[in-house]
Amino acid sequence: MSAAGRGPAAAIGATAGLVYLFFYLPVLVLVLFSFNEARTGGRWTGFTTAWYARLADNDQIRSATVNSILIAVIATALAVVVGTMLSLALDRHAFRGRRAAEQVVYLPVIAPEIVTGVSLLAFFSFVLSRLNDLLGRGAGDALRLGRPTVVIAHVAFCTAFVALVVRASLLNFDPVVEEAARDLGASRWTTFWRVTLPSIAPGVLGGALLSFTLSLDNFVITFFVAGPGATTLPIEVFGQLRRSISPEVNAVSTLIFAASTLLLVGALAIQAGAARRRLLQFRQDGRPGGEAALLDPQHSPQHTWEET
Amino acid sequence: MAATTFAQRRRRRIAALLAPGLTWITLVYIVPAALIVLYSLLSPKLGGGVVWELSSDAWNEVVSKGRRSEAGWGTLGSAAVRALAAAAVATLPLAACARWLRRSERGALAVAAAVGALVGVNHLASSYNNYAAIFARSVAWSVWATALCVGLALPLAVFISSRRSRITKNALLVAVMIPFWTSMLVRTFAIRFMLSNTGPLNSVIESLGFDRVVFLNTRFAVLLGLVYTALPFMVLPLYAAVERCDRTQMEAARDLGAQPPQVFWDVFVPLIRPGLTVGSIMVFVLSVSQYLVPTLLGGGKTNMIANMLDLQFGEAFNWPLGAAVATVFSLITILSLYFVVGRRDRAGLL
Repeated sequence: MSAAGRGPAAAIGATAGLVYLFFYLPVLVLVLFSFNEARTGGRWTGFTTAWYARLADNDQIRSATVNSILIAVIATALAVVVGTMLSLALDRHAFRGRRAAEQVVYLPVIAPEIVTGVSLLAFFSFVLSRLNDLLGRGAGDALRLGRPTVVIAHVAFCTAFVALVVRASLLNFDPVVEEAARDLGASRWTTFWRVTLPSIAPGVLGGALLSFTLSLDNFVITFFVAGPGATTLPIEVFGQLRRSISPEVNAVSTLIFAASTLLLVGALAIQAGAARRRLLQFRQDGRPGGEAALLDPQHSPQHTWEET
Repeated sequence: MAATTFAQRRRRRIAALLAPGLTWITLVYIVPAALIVLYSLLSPKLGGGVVWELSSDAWNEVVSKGRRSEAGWGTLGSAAVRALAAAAVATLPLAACARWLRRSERGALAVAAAVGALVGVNHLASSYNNYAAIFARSVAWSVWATALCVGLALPLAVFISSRRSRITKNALLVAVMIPFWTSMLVRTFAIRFMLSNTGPLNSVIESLGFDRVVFLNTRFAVLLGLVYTALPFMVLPLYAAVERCDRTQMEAARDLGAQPPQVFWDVFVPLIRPGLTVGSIMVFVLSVSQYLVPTLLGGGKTNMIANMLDLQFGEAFNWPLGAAVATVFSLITILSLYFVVGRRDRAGLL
């Protein structure tokens, strides 16, 4: 900070360095020890990939991974469509109750997960027991908590995040282009598919990747709504973690970390490409740029903070 | 077929775009919350679930002073009034401090007053009943975690923002976003592994010739875990705010003779307030509802609200009691959003 002088600048730099160390040291140590020979303990005894090999033979981990991916794919596919629709309505149209609709969309961002988890458990149990009564299903073939309930829960918060991300990219898209297409005789559908969607595609894709990550990583809500039939990867890992600390858990954690990092970098690369194009446009138009907001696709600070 | 006006078609189009998303979120976030409030007034069923008979037991247990009291609706009323009064007496100074903290030009003094009030509230609540104690503990730890996150994230945000090259800036930002998007479970486990009794940290300590230190299942471990998991949520909004703030104003203040602390509290802090508010709310809400951190790092000895909910819904199977706790928890979250955070700052969040 220029106002604070040179001494504080050194302190700021040192704190920043320590924070990065704090961020990465535990994770890197975890990754390193997933290659350690010793079964227990924090001493390095030699390099091995045996834990990864054992992971490949672990049926529970494998089926949990399949479950996780299946749920994340379905939830993301639904959330992308529903979330994009929401963001189009909220961004393109002024209508009565828009404020209230916005608050509902932001609900999954600020609601404590644990409350959502337990209330969904109560809600699904209630609905399922009524359904079972209605369909006359007994103990043998009763409908239970499982993949569908997890998907329903995941779609809700993924939708909210997709809506936020897509809205951020809609803010940088000039509706005049749409009007031009309409004036030239394109139907609403054609305009959407040929004009709007290509322009906001990076936002939609970024939203999809983030929604996929969120679904894949979600623990607390899934913990309550999964039931015994739909164990996802985080829940399986949590269970193993509580039973024993084995390097296998380190290995699977390393893979999860690698996967989410790759997904994030992918999402960022897509957004950065779009941001660069937009930046050029900003420079031409002389409109204020907001690269920071574009880099942070989850919240749209550029939009929201301008209101204050 | 009646001809539809342009306005009607437009309204239908908006409704069609909104309906699926709003219905879905309402079904998952609002309807179950209403059901939970209803459940808190029913009787528990053995093995989970509820019996559809009105009962005041759950609320009686939550609001009555000391141990559980077996009584009807009449005593519940007086206990509720007493509990509300106690909560008001305990939290009013805290709320006052929080408001002062937002407005005051004497920032450091306001922080000190808030810390005093927080310690006082925690002390008072722990003598009320077990639930109040856990609530107060969760809130207090989350406030500490939020404060620590501000302390760590602000220098980092300023550091990133003051880099000249855009590439460096973006690289440093991505380095914050990776932990932001890494699974909470993996990050909590990383801390647990690091701190475990035979873990890497203790190996280093032993090889230096010292005795092993028990880190896990202590308050220290829980607070460390809260800060570790929530810190990226503070850095990103703070960075955006610092990046946005007009540095010439600080230079002007310096030129007009303000001392560095005054520039910091009276110029810099008000300028970055929107980011500070968004970050604090994210960190606070995330921390106060943490389940993984107190479970994996506190070992059940240092329970937070989420552990209590898990216990009532998962093991003790007293759903109405859990529902009452969840209702109180939601109320606290909503109230703190609406009263502690001002209207203008809320506009920044939503």
